[in-house]
Amino acid sequence: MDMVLGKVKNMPDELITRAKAGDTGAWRALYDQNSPSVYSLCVRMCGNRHDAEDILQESFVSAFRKIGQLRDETIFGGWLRRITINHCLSYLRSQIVYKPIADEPDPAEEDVGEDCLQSIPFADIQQAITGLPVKCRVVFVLVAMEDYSHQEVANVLNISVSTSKSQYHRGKQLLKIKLSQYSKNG
Amino acid sequence: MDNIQKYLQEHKSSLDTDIPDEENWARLSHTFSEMGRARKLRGRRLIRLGIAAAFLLAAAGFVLWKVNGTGNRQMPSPPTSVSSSGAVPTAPTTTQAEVVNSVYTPVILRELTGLGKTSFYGHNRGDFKIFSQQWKVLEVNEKTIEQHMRSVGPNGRLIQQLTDNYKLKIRLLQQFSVEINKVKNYLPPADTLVKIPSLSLLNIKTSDYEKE
Repeated sequence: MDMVLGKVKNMPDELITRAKAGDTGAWRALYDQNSPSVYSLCVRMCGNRHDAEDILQESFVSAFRKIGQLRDETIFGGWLRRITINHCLSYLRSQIVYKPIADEPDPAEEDVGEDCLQSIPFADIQQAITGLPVKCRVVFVLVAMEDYSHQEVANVLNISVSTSKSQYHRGKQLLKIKLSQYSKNG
Repeated sequence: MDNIQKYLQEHKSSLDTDIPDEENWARLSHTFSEMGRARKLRGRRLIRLGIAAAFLLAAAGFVLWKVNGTGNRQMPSPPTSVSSSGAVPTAPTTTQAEVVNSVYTPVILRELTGLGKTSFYGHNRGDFKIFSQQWKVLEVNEKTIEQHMRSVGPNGRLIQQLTDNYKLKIRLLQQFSVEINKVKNYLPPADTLVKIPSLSLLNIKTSDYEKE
């Protein structure tokens, strides 16, 4: 989790300070800088743009309401991302019911080649992730893109670690199939 | 970490291909302006509450000051020490006169109330007249002292006179009470009393009165 915070781009301290003081211009600048990544994350998690927009709104409102509590201005991006993930999860929790499944051994998988991946446009990869079934998509996004461990996923989704692992593998398999189709069609 | 996960991690920012509509910011800024307005209103309400609280505190403080100020006022110094030394109290004020009044008036009222509840008898109407006359003199004295106080302001001598007058009033009432009790407890010697015949010797018939 901490790695997520470390990876995000640093925000100018002055902008955060101004936003804390209630400067609308600073809020606008922060929104412009962060809204694409936050919105894309929302789309990936929710699977549709309409819900993603609502969660984007809620996330920014929460962030600007609590910005006074942010001690380290350099981690604004990661902090905002965490808020967004929490909003996405609270939205999705009402929709997803994970059924406990038995531990399955990791299936032997064929990795998709890097050359194959590079040939696919990023927008198509994003679309392929968005098109995954909701249960495995959430786990896959959290583990593969947001650096959550399976234990953390199990905690936030209130599922077992084995369920998290199996959902992740299922999501990865489905994504591979989709991406190979894209590369074949492309 | 497999190839897909590694690739996605490396190109995470490039995968942020979705861009929200401008309309989102419009909605967001509207929400922010409402939040700001609500915060301002809350601030104003807090200021108003603060002012009201400060006013209440000030009022409570004033009342406490008044109450404690009255409670802390010292009793007048014993008249013996003042009169014996002949010294007048330093810097007498209206407050001192009020204190004298507030100390003695309740005592006088208590004595008067006690007397009012006491039934007493006299051999004739003028038995207790002397007390009434003395009381009237003391009342006149008191009014005169108060008039002087109003005209020239309270000074040590006037306050002393007022105190002495009050003390005289109390002594007079106490003496009056003692005299009343004396009369009430008075039992004339047996040989001075009229010999009253027994009831059977009188032989009074009510029919005699009825005829008259």
